[in-house]
Amino acid sequence: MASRPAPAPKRPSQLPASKPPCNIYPSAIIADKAQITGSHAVEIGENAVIHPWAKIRAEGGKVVIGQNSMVYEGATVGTVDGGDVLIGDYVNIETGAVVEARSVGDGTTVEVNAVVGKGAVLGKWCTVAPLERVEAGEELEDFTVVYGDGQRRVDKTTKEHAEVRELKKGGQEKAVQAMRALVPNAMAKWAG
Amino acid sequence: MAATFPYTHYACPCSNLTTPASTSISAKRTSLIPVDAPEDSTFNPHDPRANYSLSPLDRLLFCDECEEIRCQRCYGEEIIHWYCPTCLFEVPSSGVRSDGNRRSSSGEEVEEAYILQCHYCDWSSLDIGVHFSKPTKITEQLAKQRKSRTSGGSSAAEAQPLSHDETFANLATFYKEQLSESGDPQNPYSNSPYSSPNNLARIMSLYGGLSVNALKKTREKPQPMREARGEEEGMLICSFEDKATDDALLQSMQNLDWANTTTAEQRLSAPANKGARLVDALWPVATRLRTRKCRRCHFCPQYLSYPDPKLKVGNLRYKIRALALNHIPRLSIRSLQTSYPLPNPAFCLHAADLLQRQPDIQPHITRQYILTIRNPILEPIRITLATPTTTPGRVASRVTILCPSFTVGPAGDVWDEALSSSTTSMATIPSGNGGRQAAMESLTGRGADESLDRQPEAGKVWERTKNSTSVVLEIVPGALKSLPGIVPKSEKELEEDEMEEGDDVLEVPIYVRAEWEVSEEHDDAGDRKGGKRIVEADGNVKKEMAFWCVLGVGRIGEGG
Repeated sequence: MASRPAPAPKRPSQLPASKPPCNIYPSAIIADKAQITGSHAVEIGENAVIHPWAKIRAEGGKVVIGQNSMVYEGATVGTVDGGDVLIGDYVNIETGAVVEARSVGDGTTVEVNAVVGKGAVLGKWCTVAPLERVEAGEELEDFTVVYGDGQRRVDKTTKEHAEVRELKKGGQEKAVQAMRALVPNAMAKWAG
Repeated sequence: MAATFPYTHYACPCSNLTTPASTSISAKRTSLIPVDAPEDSTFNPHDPRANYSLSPLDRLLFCDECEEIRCQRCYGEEIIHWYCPTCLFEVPSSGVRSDGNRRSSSGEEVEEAYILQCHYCDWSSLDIGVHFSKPTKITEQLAKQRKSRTSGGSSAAEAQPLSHDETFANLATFYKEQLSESGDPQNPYSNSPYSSPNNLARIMSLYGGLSVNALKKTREKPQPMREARGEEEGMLICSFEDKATDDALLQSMQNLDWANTTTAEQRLSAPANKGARLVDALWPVATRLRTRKCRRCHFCPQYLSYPDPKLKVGNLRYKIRALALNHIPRLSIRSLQTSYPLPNPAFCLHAADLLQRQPDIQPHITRQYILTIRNPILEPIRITLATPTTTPGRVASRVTILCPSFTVGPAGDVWDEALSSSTTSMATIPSGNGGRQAAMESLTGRGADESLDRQPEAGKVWERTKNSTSVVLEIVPGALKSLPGIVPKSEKELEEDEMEEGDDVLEVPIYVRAEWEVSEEHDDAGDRKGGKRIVEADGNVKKEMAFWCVLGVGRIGEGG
């Protein structure tokens, strides 16, 4: 505990002093090194996993993360000056991705180092491929895939086959269970 | 030849491009007129076909069985094994035909059904209604589904790829027939085991007779092959009759956007995709495998290069690699006049330096060049150089080698070179024409400062190091345009005066003959070769090698 004030001047955003009002579901997992900052409300749903070094920024508005969703290492969710960010259920925000979208629908995956701009609206079951960009204010319909340097296509497999969606959900639940065993929970630091 | 000057290109003996020099033969230096037949002729670097037989030394291999240079055209490549470029899995060659390769399946289970899925763009084989009953033998299952689909569907759009496959099969059989027909028109031994030309070639080479190439020449000239004529021979006629299908395709193209049409790359990815105009019609193709190849001499069973089989793919180590670099004397040329340096392109730091046009050579002004011959082998070699007095081609330049016959010391390892001074290594060289001169020079201690204002002398070696010898080459470049005469030229003469591309390049063909001696126990190739083997009294085997090479000196300017 004594070492904690020392790095504080270096990283002011990490100061637990400005801990936002958090509403975290008991079964969610928040890693010790995860950062939750800002003054707006942060809601984290059932079984959601926030990995170490993931950043949740509630400076610009509230951040809601749905159940069974995961925010990976180094990913940033939320805005500094943009407004609310609502992340649905079964969503994956992969390593290094930046999501400032107004809302992200259920089952969507934002891949490694992809960027979703401010105010964008991602539908359900969308995929933003690694390093791709969704511009600010853009709206993606359900089942859209952003890939190959800005190309868009509709994921027919997921759209037309309900069983594939169920499988994907099942897969995500299993992944969450696996992370439960791997990521030490430090929820006590944030809850309350 | 778009090389930067100066360059040296070597002619592979596989292509006999030398033209019998009818008039220039008498003009050749008498002492240098060789006895062998190919040496009676001159290699013409301006020949249109010269580009195909000349290559830089580092692209050539050397067959130590035949003791000859081997270029790309005289070695064959054999595939050692196939591997996947993504996972580096080595596919056994027996499995390549049947299984294609193992394709990673995501294995999403839908009631014991498997699909292929791309993890990047989320495309899956469900999009085209394909799923598999088991996660193995994907290629086989795919082919089965493809077959049932193309034969079941009666619409012309789907039938087209199949007819493409059939056409290809027809064409292949047609060409095979043509080959067998034209290959050996009247075979006198049709009932004997020698009937197949391959068998015959093998047997002939077994008994040390003619090479395959020589055998081909002796055979009668084959009849020309004809092309396919009808559909059963594999010719596909383009027709415009199937208008309804075209219209349907156009209609769907209008409805869908650009992203739904296939790219040329996609259409060319596999024969099955050739007719696919829309993305939905594309068919999954297994990852194309890569290969590792070995190279084998065409004239004997010797491997010229063989990648190390013990090592994994991706490792560049070779088990066998016979580079010409390690067997053939290396020739290089540079200008003697320091005021006019020919920069080495290897030292150019900026791309712009390479683009910068080198100064043109002025016609009719004698220039001197230093020709350096470097010996890569461990025995001292005797070099004899020959060149036509005037270069072949439109622009005739006069070339004189001041010292055409000399010796080059052996290449040792780096330590030998460092420890022994140049004078001690000189003693091992059988004293030749220029060798003694150079040895005397080094013994009397003539330093480098003296050589600065040294004048090149006929019959003397210019410079000598442990394993290289330099001689001086005198070139009087010819003029691009013939001098204006009083008599008006005829049309034919004017036509002849027309310059063609590359005519202004000063290229000097040089015939290099190297001789050396190997002690008998070290001679590994001699026993099998038999031909050039001359055993000396002291148990040494005399060896020789001769080849043409072309020195690219520069571009001749307009002046004069």
